[in-house]
Amino acid sequence: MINFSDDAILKGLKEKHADSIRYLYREYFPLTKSIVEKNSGSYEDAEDVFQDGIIVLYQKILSGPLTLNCSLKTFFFSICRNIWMQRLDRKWRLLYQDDLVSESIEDYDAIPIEINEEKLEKTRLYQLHFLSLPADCQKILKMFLSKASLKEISECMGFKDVHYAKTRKYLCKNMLRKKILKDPRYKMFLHYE
Amino acid sequence: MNDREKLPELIDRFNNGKLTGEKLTDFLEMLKTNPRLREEVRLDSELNEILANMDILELRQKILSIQQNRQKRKGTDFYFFLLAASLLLLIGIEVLLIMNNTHRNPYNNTTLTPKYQSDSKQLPVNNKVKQAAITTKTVNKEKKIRDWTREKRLAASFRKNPSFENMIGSTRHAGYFRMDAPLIGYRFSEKAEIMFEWTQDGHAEIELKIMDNTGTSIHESRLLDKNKYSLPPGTLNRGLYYFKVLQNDEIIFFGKFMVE
Repeated sequence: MINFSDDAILKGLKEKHADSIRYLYREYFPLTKSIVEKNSGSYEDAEDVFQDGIIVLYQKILSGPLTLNCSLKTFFFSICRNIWMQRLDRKWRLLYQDDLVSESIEDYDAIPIEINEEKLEKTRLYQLHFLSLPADCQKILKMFLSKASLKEISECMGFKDVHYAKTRKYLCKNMLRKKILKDPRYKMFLHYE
Repeated sequence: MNDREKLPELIDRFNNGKLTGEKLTDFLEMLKTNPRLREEVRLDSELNEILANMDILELRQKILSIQQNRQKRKGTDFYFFLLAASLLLLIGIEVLLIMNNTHRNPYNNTTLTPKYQSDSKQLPVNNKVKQAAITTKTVNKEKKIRDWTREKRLAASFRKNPSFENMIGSTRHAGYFRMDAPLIGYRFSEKAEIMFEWTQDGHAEIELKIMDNTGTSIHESRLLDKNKYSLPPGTLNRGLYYFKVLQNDEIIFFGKFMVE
């Protein structure tokens, strides 16, 4: 079994290497699961938190050189715990049980990490629905979001004209919006006035 | 195209700043009165922002694929474990059944067939004399019970001892030793001499111990400079016997024989 150093994990994650992500799962997921499950969460919650934790870590790596005053493991658990506690708080069901949480958790609290938990959850939800769209829809929307012109989209997708490309773009976008609006998890983000 | 069909396009154009003039005024009016539309416009705007980050989307895709593979593997591991556990259980049940069967039926899996047969069938029963038959019936019944008890006891004395059965054969030995007689499972007649013969290197002292099928020691002898030993006829009752040959307290041969 290969062991990665903290630097190797960070470097691998920056490049989005599958090996680094697999290593994180193998080594870091069990404790993340334990943190979440001991604080009123489920296995699925732990998986979501873990995914968001990786995204936050990735964003931190991209935002500049990451200087750690602790091990990467401690830093990562601190991120995950922070996400989960904010999520619990937001959902008005904070059932924090100090006695059940690992004794080293206090170390994680000491690390200040700015996390927009709500945006993380939205990002995950939107991306999951986007990835569940038909492949051609994903491709059209990706091109559209990367500011490709309708002519480029039309040529790349082999559409007869730009009007059809435009219609398909709206149809795909609409399909994505409907999927998200129907998702019960989206209800907590609704802002009906 | 009615207003409803145009809505996705209007939302998209509004969020991209491409809605102008009268159409923009109308759309803003609609937004004021329609909370559902407001929500869709907000969602569309967020989607534009979040999905534009292709880098994160690519990372998410990789994470999801790894997560799904882990779940699949977990499922496979579970079924493999279940299969292995079921096989072990079946083997365990089979072993128990075999052992149970061996204990219940001493004649099973052995060539041993005691010559002893109940002679109750040979008892003269005079069917014609009914008065005498009552007494004879009682006597016969008692005899049958006695015979049955004796037969049962005899059968028990031929019952295999599972622990000893596992030990039968030669064991590793520093010098050369070969048991020539009795052959494993040899049947001696009750009236015959029980003869032991062996071949070995040198003239070391060996010890011969004979046990019945319950493990009770029946006979022990220390033999120096010999390669044969015998027990006179009638020394052993009918039954299954085990014997071990020891040298320096180490078992060098374990065998069995029967006296019929």
